Amino acid sequence: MRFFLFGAAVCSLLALHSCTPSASSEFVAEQNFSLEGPLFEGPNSGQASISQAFSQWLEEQGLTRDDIVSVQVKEVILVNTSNPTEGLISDAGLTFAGGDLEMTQVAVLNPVPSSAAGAKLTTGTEANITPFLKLNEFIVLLDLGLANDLDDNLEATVKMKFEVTYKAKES
Amino acid sequence: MKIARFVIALLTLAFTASGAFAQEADQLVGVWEPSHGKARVKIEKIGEKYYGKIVWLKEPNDETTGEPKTDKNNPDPALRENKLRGYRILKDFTFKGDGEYADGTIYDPENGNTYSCTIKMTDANTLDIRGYIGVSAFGRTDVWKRLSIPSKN
Repeated sequence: MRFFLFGAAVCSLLALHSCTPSASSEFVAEQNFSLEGPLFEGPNSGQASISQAFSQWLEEQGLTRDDIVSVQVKEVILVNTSNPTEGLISDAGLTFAGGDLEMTQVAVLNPVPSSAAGAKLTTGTEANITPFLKLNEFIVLLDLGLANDLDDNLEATVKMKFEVTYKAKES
Repeated sequence: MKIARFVIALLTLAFTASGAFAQEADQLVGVWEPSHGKARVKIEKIGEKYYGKIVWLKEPNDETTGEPKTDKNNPDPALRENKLRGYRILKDFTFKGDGEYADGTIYDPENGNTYSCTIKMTDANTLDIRGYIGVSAFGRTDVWKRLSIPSKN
């Protein structure tokens, strides 16, 4: 009997959960990454954070991180770089790390077109990034493969577009 | 007054100890070579954890295509275009003290499998890297040696 009651309670909870109305909005972050030179030919990385921008966006939407149901990456674009040398960047990747979560690669592009600016990265299909966006702070890593050594710093701007699904507020 | 001095002494000791702990932990940072000598891995600190990416390959190009090797066994087909050179194969290691780093994983690009992994720094230039499935007893240890690379300048 107890087992039956427990089962019924679980089913009710699941039904209630599945009925919770949700809505989704787009969060766009345009982030600058600075790779400190001198840089070697081969893989190099830059770090940045979009947590503050995301907090601000949530506030504007009247949401908190607890309201987030899921987050999906829709698009990652390498907008531009400080060094326009054609063919300098051979490949690019975007990765999230933070808290106790396993580092997760979000997007990759290999090869990067010779001009690099405006290159759209291929987003991973299996990466679950929702837990990162629920953290107050996490790190975004930009990995750039360089075809040559570079004595200067390298700046790169990346545009990230996310679809955020959240619990809809009852009106 | 005595209490204030005691508290200051305690705080100083705590800061010194945590600084020494962080310094010991950062000894892992550097470029390392596995025993097979076919690759070199640069370990760096990102946030509070340690990660290692391939920075050199003895055979960087694919035999059949002649192009740089890619992560063709990545479980996520969308990410198989990743270049192997630059790929992070060591992830999420935290320092536990006494030269030990745990809670991390090691990725084998040969088969696309990821294993639990621990790192033991046996001396300043030697690492015991142990990959395992489930229980640490059922695994394999490889010895990695530190490489000193010339600075750019």
